[in-house]
Amino acid sequence: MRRFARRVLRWYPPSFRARYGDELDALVDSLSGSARTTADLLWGAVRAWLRPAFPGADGTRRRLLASVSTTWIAWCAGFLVAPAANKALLDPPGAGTGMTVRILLYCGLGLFAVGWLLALAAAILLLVRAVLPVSRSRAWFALKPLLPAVVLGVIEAALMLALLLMSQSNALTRNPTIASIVLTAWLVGLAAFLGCLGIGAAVSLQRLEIKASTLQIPALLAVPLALILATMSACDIAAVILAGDAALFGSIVPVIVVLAVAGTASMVALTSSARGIPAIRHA
Amino acid sequence: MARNNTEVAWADPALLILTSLAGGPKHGYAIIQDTEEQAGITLGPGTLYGALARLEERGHIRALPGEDRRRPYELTASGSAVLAQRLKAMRNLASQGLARLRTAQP
Repeated sequence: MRRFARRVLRWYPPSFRARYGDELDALVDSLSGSARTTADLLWGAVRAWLRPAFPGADGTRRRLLASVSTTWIAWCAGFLVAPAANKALLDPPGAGTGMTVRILLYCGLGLFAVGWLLALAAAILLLVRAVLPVSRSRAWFALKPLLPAVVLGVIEAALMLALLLMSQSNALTRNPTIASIVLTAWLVGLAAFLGCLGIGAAVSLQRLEIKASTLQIPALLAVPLALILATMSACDIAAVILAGDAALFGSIVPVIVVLAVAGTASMVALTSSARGIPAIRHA
Repeated sequence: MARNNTEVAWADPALLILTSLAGGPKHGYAIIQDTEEQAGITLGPGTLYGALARLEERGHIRALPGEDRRRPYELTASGSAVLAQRLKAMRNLASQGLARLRTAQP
């Protein structure tokens, strides 16, 4: 049971483990490894994720880092809602796709573009102020977690090219089984790519040990990015509800999954970016 | 989870920790033992460190240089003030409650 309790310690947020991990580990050593102890640690881990604390002199910097990282991960998880809803409702347009639905979908796409511009602005700022000034070996160490995303990105681009070539030569209609396998592989790869992009960037940010003053503007940009994600999700959820089942052409399950993920990601992004606002003032 | 055997809970982990640290700096295990002895309440490790993190973030306690993997904590001035205020409120409540019980009992 003590071994399991120790494993639970790994489920705490990275910032919590960095500050209290050794102490908690020593405490677990001193206590009986009962089921109650393990359950208490589990509940503690849940609370640490839901209401993280950032004590000490470094607290402001870690709060800003958590807001930027969490909003970025939430954006990576949720931004696909706009293209997914557009694909499901407009390609081809169904019976329920009226003017209101179209306006909502175009609003979603507009917000999608603005959101990416904001994310890009924050990324360029961090690149210029946090990555370029450090030595090459340190930059490599910091950016290494993004390597899986780069590899998966190249594979995804190659698969997409293959799908385009197959669709132009009518190979997809002739071999529906192969088309379905390639499309499924591409979708699974896309999910893996976005996961690696979100988490890899968050780990890289942590490794760079960026100053609080450098994180101030990215944390400020995280607030409108979270609002854009939430508004975009709301537009697309409304569009899908208004369009109804008939307009979805049997793609209702994947659309609901994407909408649920985007809705959850929006709430996470809004909460985390809002919690970073007091730290922006203190940085 | 703070565990005790009474049906009506009266203390939250933050208050128990501050009260324990009023007796001098202690590390996590010593706080658990002290709380068990003084209040009959066993703080779980997750509850303890969740409350310690919150108290440290608010500046009510501070960590001292550690020995091995353990770090002792001590009360700060703001922690002492918060504890004193809370204990006075509890004393008022206790005296009022006891007085009412005395008049209510035959």
